[in-house]
Order: sequence, then C-alpha cells, then structure tokens
Amino acid sequence: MFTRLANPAVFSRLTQWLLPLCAVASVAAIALGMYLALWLSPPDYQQGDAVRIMYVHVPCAWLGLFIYTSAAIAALVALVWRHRLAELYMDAAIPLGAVFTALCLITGSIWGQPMWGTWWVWDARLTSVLILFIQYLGYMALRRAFDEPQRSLQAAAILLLIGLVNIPIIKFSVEWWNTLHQPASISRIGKPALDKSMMRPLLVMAFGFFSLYGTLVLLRLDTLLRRAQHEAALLRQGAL
Amino acid sequence: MLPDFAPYNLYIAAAYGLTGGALLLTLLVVLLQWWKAKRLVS
Repeated sequence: MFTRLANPAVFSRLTQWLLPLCAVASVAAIALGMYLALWLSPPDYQQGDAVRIMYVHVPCAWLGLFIYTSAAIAALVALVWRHRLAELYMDAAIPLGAVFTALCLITGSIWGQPMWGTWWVWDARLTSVLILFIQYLGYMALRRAFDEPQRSLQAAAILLLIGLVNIPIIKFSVEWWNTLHQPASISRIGKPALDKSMMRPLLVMAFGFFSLYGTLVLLRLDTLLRRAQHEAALLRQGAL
Repeated sequence: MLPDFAPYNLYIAAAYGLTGGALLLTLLVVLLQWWKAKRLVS
C-alpha cells in the first residue's frame, strides 16, 4: 500500500477526495467546538471560566506530540526503505508541528498567568515541551544546513529519531517530577478526571484541530510533490 | 452576543485570538505555496 502511495498520481487522486473531507470536517468541528467551549460548557469549580483556555491549549499539545511522533516514524521509513512519500511527509509536517507546539506554549502561558500567578516556570512539563519546540526548529535548521539534499535529509531524520526520547518524557514528566503543571486528567486509565460536559467540547475541538492538520499536511504534501515534479522536469530539460 | 467571562475575558480572548490568528495565517501561507506550486505543475 505504501509503495502504491509513493506514486504521485495515486497520491494526488487520494488527496483530491481526502482534502475536501478534512477541510469540511475541520470547519464544522471547530465551529461546533467553539460553541460548546464558549457557550455550553460550565466553568470549573476551582479555575472558573479560565478553564475554557483548555479547549485550545490541549488540542495544540496533542498535535505537537502526534506530529513529532508521526514524523519520527516517517523518518525511520525514509531511512530504511527510502520511501519518497515518507521523506516528503517529514518536510510537510515539521513546520506545522512547530506552529502547534508554539501555540501550546503560548496558550499554556496565558492560562498559567491567572491560575499560577506566573507566565512561565521551569518545571518538567513546560521545559520538556519547550525542548520539543526547539527540536522542531532544529530539524528545519538542519534541512537547510547541507548543500546536498539527501545528506541533510538523512541527518534530519536521525535527529528526529534521537529526539523521540523526549516524547515519553513530556507525557510522564507530570508523574516523574513534582510539577506546577497538573497531572494527566484525560488519558488516566479507568476514569478520566474530566466531566462529560467538559470532555465533549474538548474532544470536538481536538477532532477539528486534527482535521485542520490533515488539511494542512495534505496541501503541503501536494505542494512538495508538485515542486519535486517541476525540478525533475527542469533537470530533464537541462539534460537534453 | 459574546458571553462574559470576567475577570478572565482578556486571557480567554488572547488565547482564542492568538490560536485562531496563527492557524488562519498558517492556512493562508500553505494555500499560497500550494497555489504557486499548482501553477508550476498543473
């Protein structure tokens, strides 16, 4: 299946029906999620209305982790099998991951100020997410650091794989260390510590954000594929 | 009519405004790049 998807024509056909689906799903889910988050969900008994920041902060955090993990898997596929689509996926996804991680840090900081009395604290969760953001920037810097594209791709893929060690550190930082950031409340085994009235808008917003990411990454993959086709055509013309 | 979240109005507006603005800007840049690439190879 992956080999079939590496064919640009097959991938373009897939994008043609998947892209509008993701775009419509993202607009609908984010609109519904905003309504649920800002009008229907109740304030928290401790945090009051400030808890509503969670509905944008948490989806950004999940996406920051998801995009990095998926790009690291693509890096492994690219290194082992030299799969063209996996190589393109890394370049397509990483800048988007940097945007979502930056938004996670910014919205977290805005949430932290009224709740903790500070914009920033060097606790394990915040610091490890900041490191994740730097890892995203590191990948982008490394991709531009070599003259030879294949060498820069290999170096950046290895960096992605090494950096994967930070993902469980981010996830478990709130359990391994005493942090100001609250412990896991949604992914807790058994019963989540979040009421249904708050869980529903959060899941709808998360679905909307993931669909938006789907839209953006498909557009970027299509862009990178077209650029590669154009460069190949120019090379062929030069060779003639 | 926008709901009143006093005293957190400013924080909520900043969080949603920045997120919405940044994501719209990202979408705009991605669309522009896609449109340029589409013109190269259509």
